[in-house]
Amino acid sequence: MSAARAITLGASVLLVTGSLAAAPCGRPDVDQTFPYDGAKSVPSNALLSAHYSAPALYSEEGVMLTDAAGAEIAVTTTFDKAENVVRVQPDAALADGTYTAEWPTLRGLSEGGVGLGKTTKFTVQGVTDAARPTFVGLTQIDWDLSRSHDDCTDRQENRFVFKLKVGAATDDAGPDLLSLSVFQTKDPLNPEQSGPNKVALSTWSEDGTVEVKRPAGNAGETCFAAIAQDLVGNVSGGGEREVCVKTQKPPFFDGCSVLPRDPGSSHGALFILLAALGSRVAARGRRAPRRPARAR
Amino acid sequence: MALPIVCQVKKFRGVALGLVLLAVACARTGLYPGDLGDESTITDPNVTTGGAASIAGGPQGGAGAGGMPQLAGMPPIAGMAGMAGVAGAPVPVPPECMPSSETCNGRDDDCNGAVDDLPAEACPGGGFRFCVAGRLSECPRRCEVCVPGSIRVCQNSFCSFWGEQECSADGLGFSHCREATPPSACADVARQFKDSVELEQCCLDQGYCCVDSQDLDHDGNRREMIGECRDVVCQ
Repeated sequence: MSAARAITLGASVLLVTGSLAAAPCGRPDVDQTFPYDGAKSVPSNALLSAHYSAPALYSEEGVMLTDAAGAEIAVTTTFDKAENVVRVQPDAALADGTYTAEWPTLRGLSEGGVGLGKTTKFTVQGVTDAARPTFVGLTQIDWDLSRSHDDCTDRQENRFVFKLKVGAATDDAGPDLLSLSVFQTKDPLNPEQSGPNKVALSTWSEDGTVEVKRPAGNAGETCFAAIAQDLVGNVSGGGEREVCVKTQKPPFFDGCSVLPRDPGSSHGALFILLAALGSRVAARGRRAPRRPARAR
Repeated sequence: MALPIVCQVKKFRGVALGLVLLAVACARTGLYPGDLGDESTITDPNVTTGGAASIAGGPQGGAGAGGMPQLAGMPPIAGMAGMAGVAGAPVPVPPECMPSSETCNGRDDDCNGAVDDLPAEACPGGGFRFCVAGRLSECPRRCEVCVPGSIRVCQNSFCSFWGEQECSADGLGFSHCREATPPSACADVARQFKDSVELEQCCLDQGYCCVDSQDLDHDGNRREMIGECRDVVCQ
């Protein structure tokens, strides 16, 4: 097998496995839980929550919270459709011990069908969260361009990928139980945005970085800031610190297509001009005398 | 007549001396024209001096004013205030903080060492707003541009004149207008009128979410979508 063929075959395998691994288009799967699965030292007054990866329909599905003996704990469940988050407030403070939370499956708004729920375990250990967390804020920013297959559009989509370095944080229940909310404070696609726009929610990053994907439609100065929240809902500082970077337009060419007719646009004229210019250059190229080959 | 090079140097020695002095000054400050910006910047009201990345000035120097960087929530470093001053020169005294109720403005109004330490505000449609970068964040929406996987109808200027755009999996945008077969109720309209007001009207009449490329609502926006778009737009 030639090297080129091997590379082509390898790329095909990667593409196939990549699309098999991805969730069906628009399916709301549980992608983040607070506390995370396996968390220790969860405070007794924690508010539990699960984030769904796509907009979902909620029909009073309950969350089953059980203790180590399998006894069900009384909770109040709510769904926040703006954030795609199911929240659970235990009716009483949780006693020390291990708990299991069964997050429900929810139906997607589009054709994504029913998503995946999740079962998580966590341990409550004699801590009551009272103080606000402290957070330095984002400290560094880097960016790149990604071009990956999208299951909904079935084509390659360009996205700017911002790698944000997360500063140090502290909390009385431990920083690893914090959630991180990232806001875009300056967006070249929306220069007149009225306020920062929440673009990511994640559990506390182990490696101190978080990645945010944004549309690659318009390039320019892009800024982010972030805040941390503990399991009770206390908000940290650090949001005043912005990190900014200037992106550049992707150099990709999507191919030729007939432009849609738009009375207010000069694209048609531009296309004709370019075509005429191209044919003239080609004609010149044909007329140009050939250089004699240099004798060796 | 051209002078010998020695004479030229003598004639312009004043200019040459000036250039040498300028080069020395630049070398001492480390500043050269065009060297003042950086690709990435950090804007922090609490940081008052430069680091590796360039820093855009914030609205307030905070308690750490005096030339040394100070992080949010941290006390100023003892003895560091005014260190940036030249030896022998009067040390600038940082203005005393006058406590007032904390508001979202990028300042430490209550003088507790933390900027904008405010609780989250509940939004009427769900979610919360936070004070970020001195402003209240927008209330969250269930998706950014469109509901992932949802479809809207667009018009092409060729073949069937009818197309579809699908919303991406992350809800950040639509695909290109892909040619599709128009529904039977609009097939004749497409054949007769092509990419037209009539075809967009047929799209609306059939209960689709349609790109308003013909500006049927006369608002000048040909990129918006109109019609039955409840399951497409982020509310």
